[in-house]
Amino acid sequence: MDTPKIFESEYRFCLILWAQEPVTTTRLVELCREDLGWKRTTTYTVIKRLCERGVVKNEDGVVSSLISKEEAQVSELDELMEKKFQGSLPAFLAAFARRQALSEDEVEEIRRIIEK
Amino acid sequence: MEAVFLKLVNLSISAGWLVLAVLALRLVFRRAPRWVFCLLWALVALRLVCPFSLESALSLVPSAQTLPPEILYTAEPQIHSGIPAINSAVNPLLGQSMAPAPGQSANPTQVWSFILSCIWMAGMCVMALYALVSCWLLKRRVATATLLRENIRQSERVDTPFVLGLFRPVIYLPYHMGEGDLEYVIAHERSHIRRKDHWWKPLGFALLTVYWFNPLLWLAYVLLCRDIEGACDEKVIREMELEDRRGYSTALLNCSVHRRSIAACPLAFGEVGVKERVKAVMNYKRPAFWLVAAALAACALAAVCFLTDPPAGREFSMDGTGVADLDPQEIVERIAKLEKLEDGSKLYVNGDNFELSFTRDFQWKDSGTVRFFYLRDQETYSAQLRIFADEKKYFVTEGDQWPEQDRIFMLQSYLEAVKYLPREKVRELLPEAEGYVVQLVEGGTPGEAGRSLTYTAQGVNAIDGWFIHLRVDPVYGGNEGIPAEESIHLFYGGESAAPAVTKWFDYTASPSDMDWDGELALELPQFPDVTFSYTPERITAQGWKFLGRKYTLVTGMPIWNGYFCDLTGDGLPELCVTYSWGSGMIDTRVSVYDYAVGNRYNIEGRGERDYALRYNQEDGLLYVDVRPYEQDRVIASGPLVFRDGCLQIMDSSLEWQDGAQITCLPGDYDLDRDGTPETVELATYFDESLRYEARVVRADGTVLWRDAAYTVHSGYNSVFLCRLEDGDYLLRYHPTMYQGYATYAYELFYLDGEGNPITVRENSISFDLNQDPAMHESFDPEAIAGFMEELNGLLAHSKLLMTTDTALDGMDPDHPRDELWWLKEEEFGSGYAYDESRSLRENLVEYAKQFS
Repeated sequence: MDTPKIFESEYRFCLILWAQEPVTTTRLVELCREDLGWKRTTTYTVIKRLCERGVVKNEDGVVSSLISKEEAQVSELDELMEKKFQGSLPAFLAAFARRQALSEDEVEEIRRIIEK
Repeated sequence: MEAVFLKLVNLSISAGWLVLAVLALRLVFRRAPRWVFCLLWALVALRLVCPFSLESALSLVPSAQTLPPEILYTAEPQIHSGIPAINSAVNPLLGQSMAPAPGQSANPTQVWSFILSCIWMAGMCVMALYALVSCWLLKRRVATATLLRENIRQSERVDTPFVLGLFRPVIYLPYHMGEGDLEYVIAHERSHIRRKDHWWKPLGFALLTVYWFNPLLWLAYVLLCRDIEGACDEKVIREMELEDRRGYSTALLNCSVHRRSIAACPLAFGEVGVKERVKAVMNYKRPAFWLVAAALAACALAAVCFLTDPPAGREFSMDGTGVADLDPQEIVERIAKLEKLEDGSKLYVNGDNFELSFTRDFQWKDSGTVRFFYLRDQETYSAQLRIFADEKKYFVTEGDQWPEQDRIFMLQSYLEAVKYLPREKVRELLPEAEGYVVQLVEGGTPGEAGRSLTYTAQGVNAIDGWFIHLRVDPVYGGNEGIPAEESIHLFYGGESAAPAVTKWFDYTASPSDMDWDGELALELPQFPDVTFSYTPERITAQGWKFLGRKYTLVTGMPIWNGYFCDLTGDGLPELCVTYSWGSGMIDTRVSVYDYAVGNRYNIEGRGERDYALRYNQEDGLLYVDVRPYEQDRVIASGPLVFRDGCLQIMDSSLEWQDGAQITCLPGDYDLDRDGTPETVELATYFDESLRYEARVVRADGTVLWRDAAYTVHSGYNSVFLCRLEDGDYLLRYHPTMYQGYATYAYELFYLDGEGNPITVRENSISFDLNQDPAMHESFDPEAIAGFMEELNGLLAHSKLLMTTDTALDGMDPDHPRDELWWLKEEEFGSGYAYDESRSLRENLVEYAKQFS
């Protein structure tokens, strides 16, 4: 897996970042406080950790992401498939279809998108 | 620290009984709501927190003070658990294992008390540390928890929901909880917060850190946690229907985690006994009113029965069956408490009292009765102390009003007199008796009535005045228990003022036990931070006084014994030793070192007498045994005392070496310039007139030179030892003054081989202080100043050997200086005031002005 792991709480942070980047650390702290209820120190710690992992970068107090939202989502999906469906796309799709009650056509279309 | 620990142990034992009661109640009232149980645990906490409690007849606590305070240091520890079975099982074992070995300075109980207290402290610190650290770690873990709403946060690092925080409690949830579960969980945690559980649980743990040594309290804590959860569950589902309850149980199950640790802070949702909780939730029924009422009543009862202490009854137990087992202080205190009197001193007895019967061994025969009186609201009351020896208990009857009494004695003194009566001596004087009868007598004096003995608590002794007069009559076999008229009169009196003697070491009887390579160290509470150290050749003291160095107090060849005793009456003990000394002729001497002041006193008789210290068991005093040199027979012996500023042996038959007592001046002085130092001594004579003799003694013991000083005016003398660069000298100084006319003179000299003085310097000056011009002759301030400067210059290098001249009163023997006492006396100077900031010369000049 090339994309670094992002924990749930960090993911929510990234959501804010992706929506607002590039953004100063100060502004980020404020946003995190409002949305997530984080203390200033917590936000800084998380930024630092994510920097170390290569998820975000902090240049002179301006934070921007190194991994896009889509990349992160796909990475999660891959992990999900590996863990829960032993990497079998058909199995995943079958489960997904069962829940979503898709028509055959829709399923075909989705399969094509994924296998692209 | 040990006293605090003891109190806590006693409290925890009392609480332990309550815990057992709570456990029983929990069983009986299974179906009662859990919050009632929480109330019960609150009672336990109350018990642990409150050091005071009321007494109540309803108390079921076996004993308020299972471990009595004296167990910390006594030689015979006993527990009063309030349950005879436990007492008789434990006390003998205690007595055996804690019996002090003879010669030990600290009882095993003291040692153990200290050790156990330290262990308790350590345990407490460990617990506190654990709680603080785990809380802090947890806080760190959930730092990145994101806010859901209000005070609810979620984090990927939370496994099972919990509440954290004292003042602003926050509910922590995991991410991705099912919708249904979420609401139930939040309701549960909210309920915790409303019930203030986030306070109670930490409080419980805090109590556990202090009382960690009591296993019952650990059980209590675990059950408390369970009951808190149960109470919380009940609060949440109280209004729920079955459907909701299913949902709640599912939520419980989903969030349960197999954690077995005992956490201090977080109130975790799924942590505690999930199976039981699910069962309880599903089977929940609103409890019937009567059940709750009954449970609450039981709570109240438990509070009364277990939060109160058992009352001190009119009956209390006796420790033994003989007079020696009496505890007068305790008896008197108990009675005072019973009758609500200030203290035991308000209890009196007099001659209108009962006879006490004893067996030959002075064990109680039949039951004894002591009538006593007390005053209340200005009325006299009489009651009786009944002594039931066969049932081993005392009983105090209710008091009746009584007419005022004239002669009264203290009940405590009477009990003491009975306790300490000299049984051996009585048996000696009345050997044929089968038993004895004791009667309190008013009046009488020792000596006037037939056979009489005076005694104190220490035994047969001279007394200072008597407190209680007892008459003892023997009972013979054939007389049908009627005592014969062969009385012995016993007078119990004032405690002998024997100063306490602390033994350090004594090898006089066992010289082979002396360890020549070893060292005995001793510290005394009266001299904090000072360590006394003994080797057979030397006793040193190490402390602040000597800047941490070891200062030699005594040297000997060897030092035989050492005791500490306050002879001087200054409240601090002096070191009293017996040691041998000499070359060629080795004699034994007694030396007393007054550490507080730094003085040394000796009793010796070189070549003629041997003096040795002995501790006398009978009267607790240090005796000095006097023997002729190198002989074994004791020719005189008496207590060592300090009177009139010097050591004395209280034995009028004693013959002193020349009737004098010798003190050595420390230091080596070579006064005859022969290269070997002489010893300088001061001999004190107390025949008709107190006089001193200063002597210079050669190494072989012969006296090289001597000079006397008398306490009468004509015999005033002052001698100093002066050490100058070119050698040691003697300095004699006569500041004589008579009727205002003064002649001050000094001579500085050393000695020749025969002891004749060789004067190297001398000077004198005359003047007078008469203010009446008709009488006044001369006063030359400059000349006087010059003389004093010379003299004080010599004194600056001198030490005072002896002086009887009152003009030199208050002179510091180690830094002698004459400041001219009459300069500071107001009556000798009119219009003149001594000024400390001025020099002696300037003051003299000022002083001289009054004569012109």
